[in-house]
Parts: sequence; C-alpha cells; structure tokens
Amino acid sequence: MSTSGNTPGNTLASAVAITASHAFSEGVITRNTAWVQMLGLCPLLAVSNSMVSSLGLAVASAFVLVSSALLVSLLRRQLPDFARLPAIMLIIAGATTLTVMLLEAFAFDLYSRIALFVQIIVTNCVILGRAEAFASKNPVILAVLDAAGTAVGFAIALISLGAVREVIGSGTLLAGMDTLFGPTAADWTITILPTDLNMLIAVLPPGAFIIAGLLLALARALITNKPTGETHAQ
Amino acid sequence: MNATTGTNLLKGMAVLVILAGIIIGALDYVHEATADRIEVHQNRAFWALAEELAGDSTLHESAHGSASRPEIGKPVRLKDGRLLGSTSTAGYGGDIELLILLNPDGSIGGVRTVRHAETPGIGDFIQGATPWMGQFRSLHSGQLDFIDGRTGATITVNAMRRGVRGFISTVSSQESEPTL
Repeated sequence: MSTSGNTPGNTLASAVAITASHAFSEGVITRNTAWVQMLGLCPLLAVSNSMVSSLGLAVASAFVLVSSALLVSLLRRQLPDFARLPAIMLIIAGATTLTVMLLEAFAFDLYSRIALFVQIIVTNCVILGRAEAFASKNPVILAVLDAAGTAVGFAIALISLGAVREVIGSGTLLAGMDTLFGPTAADWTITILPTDLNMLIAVLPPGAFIIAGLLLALARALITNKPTGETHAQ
Repeated sequence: MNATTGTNLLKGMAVLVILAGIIIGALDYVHEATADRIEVHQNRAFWALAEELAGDSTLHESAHGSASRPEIGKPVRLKDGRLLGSTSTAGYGGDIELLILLNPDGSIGGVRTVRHAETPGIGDFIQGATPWMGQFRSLHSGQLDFIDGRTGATITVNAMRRGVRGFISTVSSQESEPTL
C-alpha cells in the first residue's frame, strides 16, 4: 500500500514505520468509519447529543476496539478458519461486558445516561469488521495501531457531532464533564448561546440526522480535496 | 487430509474453550471487584430519588443509617406515616424498577423509575419527574385505569400500571412494616 518512492532509506525499519503510520492514519482519515465508510451510525446518532456522552461512548468503543484487536491478533495463528468468528465474537462480547462493569463502577452517572449504547457496542460492525478484516491477518503492533486509528477516527466523528449538537441545542460546551472526570470538572462548562437561542431540535433525533448530514458533506469535501485522498476499501 | 481436518477441529475447539474460560474468569474477577462499588452507586441513586420524591432531604440519614435500599416487597414506614418501597415490573425492554411512595390514607404519594431498559425516545417518558409520571399522584389503587395511554408504548404503560397496582395490593395485605 505504501508507494516505493516514499522509502528513500529503503531499510526494513523505515518501511515498517511507514506501514505502521499508514495503518493508523488510514483509520483516522481516509477510512474514517463514520464519515467515509458510514458504519456505526446508530450509536453515533443516538448518543451524540452532548460532548460528555460522545466522549464516554468514544472511550468505551476505543477500549473494546483496541483490546479485541490485540487479542485477535495474538490468537491469529492458533485459530483455524471455522473458529475465527466465534472467537472474535467471544472476545468482543467479553471486552464489552468488562467495559459496562467498569463504567458502572467508576462513572455511574454517565453510565446511566448512555447505558444502552455501551451495551450494544458488542454489535458494532466497525469492531467486528476491523477484527475480521485486519487484526486476524496482521501482526500485533499493526493490528493495535489500526484499531487505535479506527477508534480515533470514530471519536473525532462522535465528538465533533456532539459538540455541534450541544452548542446549537443547549448553548453550552463541555457541560456535565464531572460525570466522567470527577467534581473538579464541574465548572468546565462554557456557555456559548443564551438559553432563548437554543434550538431543541438539535439534541433530538431529527437534528442528529440533519447535522450529521451537514458534517458528512463537510468531511467528504475536505477528504476528497486532499491530493493523496484516494479512498480504497480494505 | 482427513487427519489435518480432525486436528484442526480439535485445535479450534480447544482454543475456543480455553478462550471462553479465560474470559469468564476475567469477567468474574472484575465483577467481584466492582460489585460493591456498583451497589453503593445504585443505593445512592435510589435514596436521592426517594428524597426528591418525598421532599425530605434527611430521609437517607434516618434510614437506620443503613445505605441499602428497601428490598422489593419490604417497604419501610417513614416517620410521617408515609410508606416507601420499591418494586419491579416487566416492561418492554426488561424489568422496570420502581420507587413508590404511599400516603397514610393509601393513596399514591408519587412514583419514580429507578432503572429501566425501555426503547429510547419511545418508552423513556417514565424517566424522571415527567408530567406523565405526575398523574400517579393522589390516585387510589382502583383509579389506575385513569392514567393516560401512550401511543407506541402500550406495554410500558401497562407495565407501570401493573407494577403500581401490584405494589399497593402487596402492601395492603401486609400488616406491619418496619418503622423508619
């Protein structure tokens, strides 16, 4: 995938470094799950009505993505074809259950707000897709980088949508961060719009579709304008 | 060829079984480690809800100093004669856990949902102090059919009626409750 002209030293190390950075950056930009592949939109639209909920789901998804990629990649030589999918589902389900218990124990208020969507991370096609298409065929470091890139890309989509919806719908930014970072974060809230300018629709489901569509158009425009922006599906 | 397929099959099954064992072990460990913390959070959420509903912010402290919530079917009598208890009813997406306050005359003082798994956007009008939840206030057990239905959430509404009615009939069949 990396072009030969990009490796002047032509040493193995630099080639590996380029493949590694490629695995990461592809997930963030050219293969961004939400804005390019249009995957994982259900939790994206449902949870993103404030930044703190977005961040909570982004962190939970990232944990499941990276830990499942790590385990699937470690086990890839031990697994015959027929056992691969069951093993991947087992790993993802285990990681999700673990996340649910940890969130409920350490961020209860946030958990009670996004509980349902944390539980359905287990059915998130992005995670299964990366584990099956990439982690089960590549060495551990590459698999983890690929998962981390995918997670960062998903987080960018979630948090940008959450920020726009929170500003338009509630007029604030970073409200309720204390449910994730403890009492010190209670006064991080920035008020941007006065209450009478809030558009309630932005935090309701229809607003999610409208704003996600606009952000999608913007992201598409930015990504396709890049000179190296050929998007190839893995 | 057959031998390789057989070995592969055995190997795959062995890996799956070992993997399942490791994951179950890890989950069990984390569950053990977090169960107490989660219980504390759930009790705190219950009492916060109860204090808000009863309009009495000293409820938690006067609860024998115990941090746990009243068990389902074992309500506690408050100092002012009202009865506070919790119950569980089968909703559309799983059990709905309710907190119910009864006035001394047997009418309903208020109802709150402690936890539920109803469809987001359709069944979540039972979450918090919504106008719909306000309808329960000062009704008697026989008047629960006056509660408004909700389009698309028939099962949720019926579950709420059933839960409250069941709670009242359990309570009225019991003679004495522990006094708070």
